[in-house]
Amino acid sequence: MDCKTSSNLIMSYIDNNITDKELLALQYHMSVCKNCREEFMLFNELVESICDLPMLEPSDGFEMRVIDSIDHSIYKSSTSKWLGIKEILISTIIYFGFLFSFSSSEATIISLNSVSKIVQQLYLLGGFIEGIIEYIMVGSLYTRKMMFYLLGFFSRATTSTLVFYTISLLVLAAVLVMIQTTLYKILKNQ
Amino acid sequence: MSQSDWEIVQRIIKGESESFGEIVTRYKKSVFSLCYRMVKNNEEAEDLSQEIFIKAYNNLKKYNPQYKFSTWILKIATNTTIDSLRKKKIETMPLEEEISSKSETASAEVIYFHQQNKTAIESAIEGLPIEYRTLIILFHQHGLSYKEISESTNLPMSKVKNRIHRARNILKDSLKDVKEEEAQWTAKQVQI
Repeated sequence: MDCKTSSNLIMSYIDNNITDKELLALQYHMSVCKNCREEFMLFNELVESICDLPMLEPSDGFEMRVIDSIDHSIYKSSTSKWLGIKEILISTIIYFGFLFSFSSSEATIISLNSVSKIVQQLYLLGGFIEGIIEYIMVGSLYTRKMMFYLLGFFSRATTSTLVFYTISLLVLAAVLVMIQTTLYKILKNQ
Repeated sequence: MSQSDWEIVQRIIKGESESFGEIVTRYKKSVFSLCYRMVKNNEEAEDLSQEIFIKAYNNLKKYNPQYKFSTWILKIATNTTIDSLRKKKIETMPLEEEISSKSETASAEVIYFHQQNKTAIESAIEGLPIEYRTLIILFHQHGLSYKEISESTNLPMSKVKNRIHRARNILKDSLKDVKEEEAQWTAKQVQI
């Protein structure tokens, strides 16, 4: 074996990638070659020295500084961000719908009448989109008629009472479902 | 029973950002050591380490659990440190000049060694070109394999192997010269 091959085998030895046969050949060569023997010892010392170099540590409080520097919001899910706000808004809308359903039938009739009149006037003013407005006007007329029919139907005391109780029951059921969903989400996120 | 790195990463991605502190505790020594050996300055090494961990946090979704987390974060550390050194245009001696001026460098290293009270090996490592220094530290101090270093540095494995072998030869020659010069220096001191 020549010294160049020996040098390569020393590298393989340091890489922990030497076969038993190669190691034997290397050991034999080193027994007769002083230079390679010294080279081997130097490499061993070198590797041990590097391995013995201490793992250094940053100053105290390093973890806290890193945690304070990161953006904690980037991995927050959109559902958790809005948790509570969406449910509160929907509950509020349902609550006002609940209140509205209990308002007097007369007030309902008057307000719906006013709304339909305003809509009609808007349709008349919108001249530049005549084709669409015409269709909407026709549709709104039918809708207005249907509304008056329904209002007439609902204005009957017994019918309105039945309808109002049904609406109240549905609203209460919806609120309960909303509360249940919110609680479930809170528990899941914990 | 402590959780695996991947389990902690999953928790962080699901919204538990505070759990990143556990990752920092596990890898702060590895990252800081690498940075310090490269930049040779405590404050700068800490700033770099902080930057590295923030980058790692921001890119957690890109972490592939097929690879070790240590390899992944050391890859970020290596790239960030080398970029930082290149921006500062740290002068490092090219390999060819290193070899040609070996005899002069040896004397300077002995003096430097005595003045700074550093080990000869630390001085020799600091004298390596940046890219060689990184590979030697990753292989011998952090225990990464050639394959892992190749993945960390985006270098072909053959190039990693060649550079590490060359770096070892440089260090061996430096160490040899330092020992010889120190022996002579010590001999002179004894005579005096």
